[in-house]
Amino acid sequence: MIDLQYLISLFHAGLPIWILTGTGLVCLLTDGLWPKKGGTAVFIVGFLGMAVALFFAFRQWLSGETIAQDLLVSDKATRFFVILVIFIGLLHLLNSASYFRLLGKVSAGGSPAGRLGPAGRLGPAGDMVTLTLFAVVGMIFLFASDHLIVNFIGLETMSLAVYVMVGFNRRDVRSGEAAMKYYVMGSVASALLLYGIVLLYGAVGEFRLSEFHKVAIFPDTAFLPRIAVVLMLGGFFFKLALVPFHFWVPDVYEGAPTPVTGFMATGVKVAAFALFIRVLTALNYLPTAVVSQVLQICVILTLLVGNLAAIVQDNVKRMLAYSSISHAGYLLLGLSVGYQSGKFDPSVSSAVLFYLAGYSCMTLGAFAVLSVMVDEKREATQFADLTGLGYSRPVLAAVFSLFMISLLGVPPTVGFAAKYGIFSFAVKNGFIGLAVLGMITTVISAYYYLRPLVMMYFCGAPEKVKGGEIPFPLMLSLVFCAVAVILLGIWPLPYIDMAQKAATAFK
Amino acid sequence: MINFPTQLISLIPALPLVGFLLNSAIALAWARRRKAGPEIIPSVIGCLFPIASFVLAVWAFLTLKGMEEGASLSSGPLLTWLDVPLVSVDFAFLIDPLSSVMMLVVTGVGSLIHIYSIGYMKKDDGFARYFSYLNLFLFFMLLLVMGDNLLVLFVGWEGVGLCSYLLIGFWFTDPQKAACGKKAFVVNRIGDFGFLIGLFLILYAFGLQGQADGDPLSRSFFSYSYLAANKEWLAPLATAITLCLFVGATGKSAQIPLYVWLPDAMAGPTPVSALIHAATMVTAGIYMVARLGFLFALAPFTLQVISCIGLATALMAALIGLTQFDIKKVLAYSTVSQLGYMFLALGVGAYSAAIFHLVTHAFFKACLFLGSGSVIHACHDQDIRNMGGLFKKMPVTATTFLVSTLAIAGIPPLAGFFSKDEILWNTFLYGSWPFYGVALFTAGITAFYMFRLFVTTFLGKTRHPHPDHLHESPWVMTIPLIILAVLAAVGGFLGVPEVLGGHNRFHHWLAAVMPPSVGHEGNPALELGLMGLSTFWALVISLISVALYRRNLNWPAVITERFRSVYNLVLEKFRVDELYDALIIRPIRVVSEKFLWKISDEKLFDGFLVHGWTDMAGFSARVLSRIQTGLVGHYLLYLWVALVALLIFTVK
Repeated sequence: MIDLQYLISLFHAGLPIWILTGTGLVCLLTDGLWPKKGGTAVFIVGFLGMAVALFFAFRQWLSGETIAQDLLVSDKATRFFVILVIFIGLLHLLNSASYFRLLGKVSAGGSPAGRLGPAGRLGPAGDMVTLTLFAVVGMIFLFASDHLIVNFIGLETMSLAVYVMVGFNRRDVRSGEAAMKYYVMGSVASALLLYGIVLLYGAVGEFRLSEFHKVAIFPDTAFLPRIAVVLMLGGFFFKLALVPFHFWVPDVYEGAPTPVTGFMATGVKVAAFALFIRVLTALNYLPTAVVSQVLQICVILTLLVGNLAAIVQDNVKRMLAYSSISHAGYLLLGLSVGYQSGKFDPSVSSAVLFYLAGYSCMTLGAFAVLSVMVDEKREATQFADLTGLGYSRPVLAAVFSLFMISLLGVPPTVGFAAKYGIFSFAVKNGFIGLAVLGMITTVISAYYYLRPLVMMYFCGAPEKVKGGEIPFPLMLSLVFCAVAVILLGIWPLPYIDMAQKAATAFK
Repeated sequence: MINFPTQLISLIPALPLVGFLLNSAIALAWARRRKAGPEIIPSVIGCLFPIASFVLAVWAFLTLKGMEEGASLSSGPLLTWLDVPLVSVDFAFLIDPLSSVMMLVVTGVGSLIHIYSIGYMKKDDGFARYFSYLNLFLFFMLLLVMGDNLLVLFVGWEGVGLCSYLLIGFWFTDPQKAACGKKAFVVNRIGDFGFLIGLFLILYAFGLQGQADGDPLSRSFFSYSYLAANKEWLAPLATAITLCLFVGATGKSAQIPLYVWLPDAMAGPTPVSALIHAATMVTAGIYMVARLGFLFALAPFTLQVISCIGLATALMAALIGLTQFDIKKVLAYSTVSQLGYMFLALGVGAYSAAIFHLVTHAFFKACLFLGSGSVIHACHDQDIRNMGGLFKKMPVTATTFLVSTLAIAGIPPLAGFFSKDEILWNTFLYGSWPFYGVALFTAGITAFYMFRLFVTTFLGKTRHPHPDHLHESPWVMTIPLIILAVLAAVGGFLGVPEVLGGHNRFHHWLAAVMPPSVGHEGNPALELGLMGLSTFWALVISLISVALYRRNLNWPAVITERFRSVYNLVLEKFRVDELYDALIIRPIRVVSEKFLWKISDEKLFDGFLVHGWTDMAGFSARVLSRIQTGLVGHYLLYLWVALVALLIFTVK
């Protein structure tokens, strides 16, 4: 017997998800029916589908009522993240479409590369669009439920899509290597998380985070949830790229096609953080006070290692990989200062939410710039490739400088507003030491964030003129990111307000 | 009449901004094509938006006039700019008597100068760029005068500084002109630093009161209404705050010691000199002090400093003006001198007199500058020794120039007479004989050098190498001149003092927002007497000047021979630039090079701190990257080690 009312409310609760899933299926079909010209068509279909999903996500955000429907939670927090990941997906589509077109155009110069498979094809790659859509669906499932098994399925949906995306550039052996590494390491992490979930179920007999406050813990088995939590933390730290679970990050980020790296650094991280906040809130009801210390240790390690290791990199992508590690550190700092006498207070996560939004804009923007840096059939993302970019491609260099300055956290960019929010919470809650550490490591980070500026502007003209227009989709995403970085920087109040509304939904 | 709807307030500054955006797009398009298009498009865009602003400003002014005394139009918070526990700042506009006067001057004189520029900038490569800068300037200037709090004012303050820099160095391919722009920017930066410290001190003073929490309204420390309502909290720091703010004013309004940039600012196109460096931007400091009059009234010491500096600047600049031969330089020093007068008025507590002089000065000085622009346009030269006899060639320019010269010299009944006399009278009432004496003396010098300028430029025989090429400027340039000359002639009737049977409407208009004048009630007979004295003085000096220069342009040669060293000192502008160079710039360079660079930077910071740190960081980074082998097996091992460590830590 099918309950129609139930289906309708389920439909409403997950409207953006259904739209995205449907679009993904249509994209698969389109790509299959017109394999030759399909790339562009699939891109348009996927883009429109995402835009429609974004529209409905916004409407849900504005409508305000919370719809809890069995396995789906549609509260303010979820909707905030839905909007954010769809934005990330859209920008990723724009970045990747142009990237593969550029890579194709450059390699079309009579080399045997032209005969290679889909990635060697000109134009946007249809599979990439489909994968992006399914990855975004996975991300939403990752946090849009309070049922740990649904979360896990979301995680796997997302991860599988991203594994393939990482290995998408089939001509580049590094891309394949990265996919392999990511897959092996990622499987271990997934296993950790799953084992943690199962152990937790064994200990408390509950999969649903919202029911945790009802469970009873027997003192003689209190170690069980602790082990479970550690395993789960291991899984989370892996996905969030936190030290000491970060070793895969530089290799994978460097090997993956540039836009995909941007997608991983933002989308995957945002989704994982969303679930992480939910889990931390639920863990308040378990005797796991030690979590806050684990988080703090992890913050210290991440900030130091991430920022120091970034200094010696020669490849901008690799540098940005370490940069994303250290930003994950700042985000975790924002969460770890939410602990007051062993209990996590989710309302401080408003700063983290705002930081995530700002971080996504500047990181995607930076990777969008790198996506243009394609030279002679390969990515030109060494620091040396940036030499004189300020003269040969002034617009590109200017926006890249903007994103670097924002990542560093200099006003009037969003990077400053975001860091200010995190540090001020840290100081207010009495975590002076962590705040000082954050500021010191920010100063260290100036070294590697300003280095591209030096290369672009103060190292003379480029050896050879690398001209070329910026493709339209990329221009779109660059302009969007640049405007967002400045707008959120000088007038952050409305977005902080959004983040606060979302943060209060975590309970 | 329909009342001005407050929703439209933000349109007044927004319109020039739209003009700026459109003109920048055109400028970019032209630059991309490497070919300029028809000049009509940017000129129409560039002029229409300011004129529309002006119309709105007039409408707002009339509405305000119809309301009861002390009323104001407020846009309300357009958006909350900042709302942190420390302070809350709204982006909001306020039209009260003071800002309405400023708006009328800025948009009115601004529009005229925009129109004039169409003729002056004709066939310039950067035509569209010029208009986009000029529109941007109007936008920032309107922010400055219309903002309802100090931070919006500061945004405008910095914005006009930027536009001034861009326009002084408009012909940036000439390194000398670019350097002038840079000088203006750097000197202004020093003043702005003082201004910023003043703002921080205000924040600090309110912070001391423990008002940090509560609703945003109780934290909007920078809004004028809040400042005025809670000024007693600022009282302990008032002297420090106002001195810092005044440092900002000396930068923007070219007073001792920071006036040195203004004469060099003449490198920009002449309409720019008229708009920015005579009529509007340089008066921002006067506006700011008048706006915060209630705060300055708490700091008598600061007011004394202001009056001294104003007077000294007025005298010194006037003396330098006597000796200059560049037509624009004379006017530039004259501007510095007149600004000194306004500060003198502020210092003696006569706020409305200062604003009155600001307005009339905007009329006649803009007219003088535009007139000089017209002359330069014809002669392609700025040296008055190569001019002469232009009256016949350029009758309109010469007539308007004469009217403005009479006005600035203080000959009744032209505008300058009323405003200057009010300053003199208030200085007298202030009770300081030496001040009055020096101010009167300076007024005489002003009359002298202005007539020297007029006679040398327009009368006598022409000394131009190609007298046949000289011609009157086109109508787009002469019509603004005529309008400004008329304003310079009749503008004074806005504030005819009571003793002459007037009502001093200007004073009453501002009375609601200004603290009352500090001076004592004067004796009407005495006022009339002093008025007669200053009129007589101005007339006599003017006639002497005309007589001397009509007879022989080189008559000062005898005197200058006699007092060669003094004359040279004045001619070289009291060598203030050289003094700054020797006292400040060179020591800074020496210290920078010998100590900061060679010792502090290279040895301490680079050698020890930077390389020490980076060596350490580099070492640890290398260790880290050594761990980063690239082998999945190793990575998995690390993962397990980390996990086991975590487990032991947690479960122990």
